[in-house]
Amino acid sequence: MKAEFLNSNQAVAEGAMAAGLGVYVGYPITPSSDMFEYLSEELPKRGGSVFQAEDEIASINALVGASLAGAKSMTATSGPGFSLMMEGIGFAAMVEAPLMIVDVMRAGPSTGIATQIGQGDIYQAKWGSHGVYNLVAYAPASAQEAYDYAIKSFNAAYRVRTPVVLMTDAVLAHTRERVVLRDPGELEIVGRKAPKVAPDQYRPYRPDPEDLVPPMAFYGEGYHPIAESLTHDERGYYKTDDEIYRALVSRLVRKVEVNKSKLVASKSYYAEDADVLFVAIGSMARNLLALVRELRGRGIKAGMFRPISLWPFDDESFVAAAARASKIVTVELNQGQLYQILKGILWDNRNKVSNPTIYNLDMPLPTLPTPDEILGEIESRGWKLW
Amino acid sequence: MVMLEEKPSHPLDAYMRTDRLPHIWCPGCGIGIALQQFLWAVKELHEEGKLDPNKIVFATGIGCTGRASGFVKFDTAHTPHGRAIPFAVGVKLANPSLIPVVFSGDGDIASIGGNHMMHAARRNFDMLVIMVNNMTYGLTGGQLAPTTPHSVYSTTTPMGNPESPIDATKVVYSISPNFVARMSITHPNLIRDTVKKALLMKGFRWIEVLSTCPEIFGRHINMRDPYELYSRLKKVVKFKKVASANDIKYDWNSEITCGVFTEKNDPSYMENYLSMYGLKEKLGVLSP
Amino acid sequence: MENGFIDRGASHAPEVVASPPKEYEIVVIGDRCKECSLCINVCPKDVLARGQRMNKKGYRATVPVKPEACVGCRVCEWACPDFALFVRPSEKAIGRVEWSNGEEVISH
Repeated sequence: MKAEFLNSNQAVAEGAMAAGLGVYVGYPITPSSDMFEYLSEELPKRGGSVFQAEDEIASINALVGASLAGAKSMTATSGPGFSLMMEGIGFAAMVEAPLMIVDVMRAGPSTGIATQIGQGDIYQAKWGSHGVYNLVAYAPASAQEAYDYAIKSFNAAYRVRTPVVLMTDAVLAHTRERVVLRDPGELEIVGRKAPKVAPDQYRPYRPDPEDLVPPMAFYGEGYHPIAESLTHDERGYYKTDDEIYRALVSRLVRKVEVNKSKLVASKSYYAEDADVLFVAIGSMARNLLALVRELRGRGIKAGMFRPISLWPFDDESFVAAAARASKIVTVELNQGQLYQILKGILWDNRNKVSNPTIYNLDMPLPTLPTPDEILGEIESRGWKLW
Repeated sequence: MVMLEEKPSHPLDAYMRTDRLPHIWCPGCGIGIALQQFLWAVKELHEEGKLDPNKIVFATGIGCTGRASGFVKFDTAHTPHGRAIPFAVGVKLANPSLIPVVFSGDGDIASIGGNHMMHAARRNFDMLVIMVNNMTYGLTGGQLAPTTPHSVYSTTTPMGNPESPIDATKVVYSISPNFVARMSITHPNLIRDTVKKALLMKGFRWIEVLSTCPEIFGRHINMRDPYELYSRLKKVVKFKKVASANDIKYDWNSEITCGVFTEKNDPSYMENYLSMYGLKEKLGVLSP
Repeated sequence: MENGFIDRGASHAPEVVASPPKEYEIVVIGDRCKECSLCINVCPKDVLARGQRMNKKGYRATVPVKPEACVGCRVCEWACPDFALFVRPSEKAIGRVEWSNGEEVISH
């Protein structure tokens, strides 16, 4: 292993390459373009190809093709491009193509502010495409985590055969930090589950019962797999029957749920005896942690829960962290998306927590507030949290 | 009446998912005619030892023509509307030994997919695109297509089409990829010959195949009988050599120029990329 | 040789061999036919006609009524959108309609 000084755009690129990235298809969009540029030079040196498509729609559809043809594939984008990719993400989910999309979040909606931070894509990451499907999304909070979770995103993608969204932000993208790059032997790399039967026995959408994930035949191996965007049976043939539709879409959702323990991730800070539990992701969590430490210094029992997997959410760890809290405060640069998620989790687990009040500290700003500014925001709302 | 011991099956059955036949296309639909000739081309090249059908990735979009991926026994993809071409790009980038074939309709490729069509042609990207043109949006019931002739009825232009159609082949011709041709289902043997040639070339190869949709387009122009529409199409297609884009016509009322308009051997996208970026191993397995 | 024909690509003249085929077998796969009648109309020799028996989808499949008149041009085969008929050289001129239940109708 070796230590390098990288920003999270570079760290994600390095992590992806460590995981075996084969194809990058992208389109320039601030603040992700330099990841694309970095890979356009580095990836060919490691035997992979980088392609600039005509738009983000072409990018995401090319990734599905590349994935089904046997390459670990990814792209990086930001809000406007992410929105364009929504149909393609649904396509990837429907044909169960593993791939990684990095959303380097910026201030939105629409063109917004290209060069400044946003955190408004949390719901969109999972719910942005139409219909019934599921996927996995991670939100690292440092360049090291960006490296580690680029690898874990690919692992997740191949474990459950979904697109995986890695959500960083405009601040992380260009903040250089120490990153320890692991040697190949130190990493767990998950690839596809190869078919165990002969081509005439193979059914492209027949899941293994233990994980609900079908073994994946690549193009060119003689299995003649069908990638079918219409609702399909196990053979990939278009079928409109109620039972077949239900079986398919339920499985697309459940295959992530049944593998949840291998997918969730989060971190808690000072939570064992926290009375006020703050919740934030990404760069915001870093500033918030400084505030939590300061409050602790003043004798206030503050703690923080930081989700790393957004979807599926690590609700068990959250419930454990919130067990003794009387107040939960979500702090995010949007209108309250973590807030909506946690309201639901708290209700579902109301017999496991001590009836906390949840506060939505929505700060729709295009810059990170300092710890003092977060405190000022709390005070300006007249909340008596301690 | 005699009971057969062994049924002779259609000579192309080996390349089809026969459990899904009869296919869903209407009586007299030209898509089946175009597909048949594509499969003959594959079969003949296969038997000549020049093509491995296991390397074909047959990608279609949405529409009646897009349903073709359900009937062929290759590696296939039924992609979102307009996106078969970028899908094929990804396939080729991942595994340069694969042979992407895009087989889709005029609405799918030239309307929503138009941007992808243009750029793939511009890049001379390694793929064969067959655009079956029936001048309507058949599957969804007969809405206007970018290829629908002026003043013709469609369900979204009930007082007649106020627009002029695009000649997609002329557009691609002007971008100048390696192979540009327009064929017609009324001249099936020429489709086969052209596909055979194109499958062995490199770079971006484009074959538009004019087709009949008697049930919808035919009905809209009062020619619902399959043979009547077929004859009408046969009258308007003219096979010519062209010297420039001006020679290529697309006029349902006078002439739709057909033939092989461009045939050259410029380096393909993958050749250029793989050699410029030192990807020698992939260059070694690159196939047309 | 493919399918009994020496085929150098249909746009070239067929090679003359010692004994070129003179008779043809025309096979209709009854359940695939959709009664579009393109085959009947394009045949230069009036070999084909619409049959009486309906297939599973309700279409009356084409029947080769005059197989002895067939010259093996295969224009009917190539005009068929449904992979429902094909022509091949044969010792004797014969027309068949195959049905999925194994029955066939022979005309000769």
